[in-house]
Amino acid sequence: QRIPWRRSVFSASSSAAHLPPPLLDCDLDTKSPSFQEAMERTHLQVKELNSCLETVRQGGGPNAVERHLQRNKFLPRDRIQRLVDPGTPLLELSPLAGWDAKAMQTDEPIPSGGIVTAIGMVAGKMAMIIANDATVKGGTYFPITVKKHLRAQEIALENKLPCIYLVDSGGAYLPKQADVFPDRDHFGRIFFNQATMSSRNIPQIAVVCGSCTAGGAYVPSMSDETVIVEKNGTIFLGGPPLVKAATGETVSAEDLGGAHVHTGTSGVADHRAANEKEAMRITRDIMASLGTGTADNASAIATEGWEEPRFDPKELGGVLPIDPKQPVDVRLVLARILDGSRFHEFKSNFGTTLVTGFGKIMGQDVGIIANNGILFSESAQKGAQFVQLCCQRGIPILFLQNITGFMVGQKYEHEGIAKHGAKLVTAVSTAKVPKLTLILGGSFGAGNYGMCGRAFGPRFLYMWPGARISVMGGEQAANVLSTVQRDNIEARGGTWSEEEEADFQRPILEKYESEGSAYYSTSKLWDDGIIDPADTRMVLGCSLAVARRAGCEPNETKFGVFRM
Amino acid sequence: HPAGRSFSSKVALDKVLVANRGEIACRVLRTCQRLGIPTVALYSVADGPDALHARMADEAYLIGTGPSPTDSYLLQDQVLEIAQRAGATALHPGYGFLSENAGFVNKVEDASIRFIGPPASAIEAMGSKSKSKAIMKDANVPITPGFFGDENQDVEFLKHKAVTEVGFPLLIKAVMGGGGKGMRLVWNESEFEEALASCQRESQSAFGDSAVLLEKYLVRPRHVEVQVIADSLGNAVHLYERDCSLQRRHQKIIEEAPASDLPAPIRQELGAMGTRAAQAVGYVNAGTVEFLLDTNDPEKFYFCEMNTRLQVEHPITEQITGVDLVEWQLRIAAGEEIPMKQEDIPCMGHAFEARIYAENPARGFLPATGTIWHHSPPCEMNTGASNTGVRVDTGLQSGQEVGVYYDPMISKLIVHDQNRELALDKLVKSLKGYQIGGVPTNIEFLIKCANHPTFRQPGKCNTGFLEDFADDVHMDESTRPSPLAQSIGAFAAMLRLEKRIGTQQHQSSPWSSLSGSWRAGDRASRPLKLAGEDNDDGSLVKCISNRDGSFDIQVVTDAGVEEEFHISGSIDDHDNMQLVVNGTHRMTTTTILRESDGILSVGVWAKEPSQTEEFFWEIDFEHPLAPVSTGGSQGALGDKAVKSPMPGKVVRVNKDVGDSVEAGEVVMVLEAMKMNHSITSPRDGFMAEIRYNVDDIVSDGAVLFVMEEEENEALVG
Repeated sequence: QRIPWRRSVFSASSSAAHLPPPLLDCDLDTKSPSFQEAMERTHLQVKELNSCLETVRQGGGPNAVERHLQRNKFLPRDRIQRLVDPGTPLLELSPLAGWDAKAMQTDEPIPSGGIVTAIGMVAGKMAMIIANDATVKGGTYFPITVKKHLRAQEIALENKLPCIYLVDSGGAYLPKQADVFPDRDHFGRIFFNQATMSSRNIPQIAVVCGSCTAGGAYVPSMSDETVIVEKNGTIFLGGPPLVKAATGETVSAEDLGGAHVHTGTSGVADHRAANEKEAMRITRDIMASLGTGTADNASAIATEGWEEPRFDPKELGGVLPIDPKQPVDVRLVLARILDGSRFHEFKSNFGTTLVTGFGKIMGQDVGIIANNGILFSESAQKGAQFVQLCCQRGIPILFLQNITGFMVGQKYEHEGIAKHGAKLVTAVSTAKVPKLTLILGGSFGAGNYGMCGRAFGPRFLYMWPGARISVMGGEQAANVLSTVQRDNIEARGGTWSEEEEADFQRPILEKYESEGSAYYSTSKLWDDGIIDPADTRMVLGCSLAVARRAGCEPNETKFGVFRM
Repeated sequence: HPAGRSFSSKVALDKVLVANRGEIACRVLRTCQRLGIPTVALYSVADGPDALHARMADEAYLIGTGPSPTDSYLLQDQVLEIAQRAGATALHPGYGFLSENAGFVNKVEDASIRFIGPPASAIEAMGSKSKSKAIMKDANVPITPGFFGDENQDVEFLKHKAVTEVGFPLLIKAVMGGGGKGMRLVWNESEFEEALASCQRESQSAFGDSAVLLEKYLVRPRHVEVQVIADSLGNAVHLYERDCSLQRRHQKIIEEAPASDLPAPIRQELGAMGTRAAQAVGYVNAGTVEFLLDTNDPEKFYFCEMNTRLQVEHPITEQITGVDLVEWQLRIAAGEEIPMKQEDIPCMGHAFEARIYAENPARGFLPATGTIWHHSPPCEMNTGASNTGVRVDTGLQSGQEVGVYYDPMISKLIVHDQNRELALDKLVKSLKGYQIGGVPTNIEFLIKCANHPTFRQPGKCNTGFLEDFADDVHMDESTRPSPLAQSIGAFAAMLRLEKRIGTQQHQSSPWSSLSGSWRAGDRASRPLKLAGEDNDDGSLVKCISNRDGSFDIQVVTDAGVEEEFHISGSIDDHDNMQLVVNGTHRMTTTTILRESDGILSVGVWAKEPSQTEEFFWEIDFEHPLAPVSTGGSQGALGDKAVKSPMPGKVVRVNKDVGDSVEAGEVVMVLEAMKMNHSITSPRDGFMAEIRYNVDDIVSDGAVLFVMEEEENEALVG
């Protein structure tokens, strides 16, 4: 949308002659019933999404919040709000992690997975902020909490983002210790990551707002610079009850490992803050004093300015028809997310079920690979070649997924669709440039692989609320399984009524229905968040600016063997 | 009417040194420049060479080595030395400082420099209250009953005279005093001795002479003074009278000319008496004869004193007569005849002057110090009379500090119109359009006074006005701006915090402020805390960012009700803020922001005062992003440190380090604005540190002394 105080940053004097042409004929008939139904569907989906977000922002519920506030503590999002620069965006990641209790195999949802992770500007520098939510089970680490913490650190590592840990946690959730403690990607990995990032000159800053007990004590201890809040902040390997049990020594939490102890005696922390407000200001000062050697500042990510799209991004919600079987031209989406709707399309007449080409999002170069139907051999080849182009030129790639899979059938197997698909998967896997993935509609089967699913390391992966992800569609799965079942029964000479078949299929359909939803995915952290389609441009623009901090050097990729 | 009557002839003065500072120095320099007379100015260390008066003059010299007047502008020999060095042939003293010092006048004349003012003899005669009364008595000018002999200053003798001859209430006045300094009002016998001692002490320190006189105190008289001017050829005229009855502790607040609701014969009589008084002392140059009008007996008025200088409020006389008094002073000093005959001097319309002070009316008018970071009067400054009938005389520039060493007057606002009512309306309108940021001022208080029904009634204001209507014009310290005003202030603060002020180039990155405080499925909310308020809930203004750059701002009213305003707008390079409130109310304001010491100050002046109830509001927020103070010694002391509530001078220290003190005990006494203020101990304890000695100047908020709750062992041991 136009922001009134923003003047058009695109000036006629810049060389418009060198810009690619805008996409034409991308108007949607906004008065048509099909568009309005689609918009209404998206409207309801976004309403649901926002109500979920509203719910998780309440943390562990009114009682826990009340207790928290009474201790002179801010809620994690308020802490972050005080940390970041006014008037700058904040990109919260996976706010709905832990949302679906069934997916989590827990009794109740774990709001935001008990930890808030967000990328924001702090004192003019980008940072990954990782904030425990002590109102959710005392900020203890559930499996999903660990996973989300590690994911945030992974993003920080890949994109060279300084980390700010707002620590307020009781440590590992003991009843689930087997699922949070011992494995490679469990609790210990947090500290491994801190050391690794510090060694790569990615600043690690901790703000101790609450307790850091046992393993948790290592978050501040492993940080480059640590702030601790008087009275509320404590750091110790063993808390007073454990000390009492172990040695008989009676000592208060404050005397054992409070702010005065650690800033004055032990040196475990560096800055003592009278309260959280002051702690956040000190943290801003730390960020301001990082110097220019460690992290890019805002000016380094600045672009020359940009044109807004010629087609209204608010209409994105009406692009995908109600019926997923109806074909849709993905250029309608591109026309609403690319600067000036300009798109330099590559190989537009070849392998037309995959649209490739170059454009810009908020002034930043990006290569687009977008599904426009089932993947065929040609489309896969075209995609692989385009990935090579982007890697050669050091341009990040954005994958827009709406894919049911690769074409099947004798003709296609004979022409080697598997090896052509493999070329795309090889190219995507080994591409060194930043990759971003947005799942618009379906993400099924090998389509997910070729289009840079989670396993292929996109820097960020987002889903529209109606997106679906599974190895194949529920109907297809049910049909495959019931075909096998029918063959078995009939091989034994039995019969299988249609009714029996329907009974057999129903749970399969239900399972796929529930496990294929975006909410199931985001609950399990298969993505970095569900986004409002109308926000697509903003989310991608911000994510791209983060991703461009690393990996955009041209000709750096060494591809694997392409099966010719 | 004409902007000062000009006379074609050249003034026979080669070079004039102005031995003063501030607005009056600028005022005198302005006329000299108009007449083509070269000028010399002086500046103290505190004022510096960039002070407005120093810059206005053709040349300016540093005077003295210290900031206080005694170490600078009052150094007579050095003033003369500079005058001679610069080749000045005449000296204008302004008001205050050396203007009524007969000894100095003699020195000036001895150095063959023309003194632009009366002869030393007249100053001496009028400077002594007792002598002046005697002269007036002889000249048949009515005088107030009292005891004026200064030969015997014995306490018991004076007390006897007070009881037997003068009666109560009475005034004890420094013989050498003036302008309210060295004056005590005594209602009954029991207060007499203490008042006398304090008056004598003050006189000694202010004028180097402790002699006092006693005078009958008229209850609620009107203060009416006559502007006179006499030449060296024996001519004297008056330029009508001024009514300066609106006073606070003898400090004039709003003056007007001519006096209103006076019968013509009385006015004539006043003028005639003024002229007679001047002639009686062989007066030359401009002077003012003060009379008190007995409000109980309106036919009666008494000579009070004569001020042998150009007065602060002279511009209102200039406005109604069209005379440039400084020009007349210069011409007369050059030996010319008074340029006009009495009957030719017009009296046109009505004029008011309001003195704008850096002070805190809500805190007992304590003088304020600080840096004036915004100063925009309702008309061009220092141009003299103007066509609009609004005039501002000032010596101050934006960015200048109001210090502790000089009078905290910022400027004088003078208005003129056809009649009293119109002039008074113009005064209020001009006061509302007067923009000052950085220090508290008395502007709102002045408006309250000017709008008061009694003041609006001609002739009804007497010197008891502020006592009688104290409640009406009382300024409430705790008054917060209205919720709307707070919201507008918060909006401006947010524009600043988000770096959206003016037309500066925004950074072009999705992460820059170009995008505003974007949040997925949410709106960023930032609390701004009003500075200086401890209440964490009631003093928060919540600013919620909308994606279009507007804000929804929530304020909790004093009644505890939450009010919300939707505000959009912007501030341009010229500090103009265009606002639309709740989508329906468009406003234009001047908005200035300033950050210092962790405070984000927003000054908002409504362009059209009728737009809101408030025409000006200043809101201080705790700066949400300010660096954390590293806790200097002052901060580390916490509540052990007792700070000065005002700038002032230490006149007494009652305790030594190590002394034990009880809560409420007076530890120190400060003098500020002619008043003594006791600094008491907030609790029982021991004196750990005393940071100032007698005669030291302290600034507002300075730590005066530090207390320890328990006796420090080191001190005992």
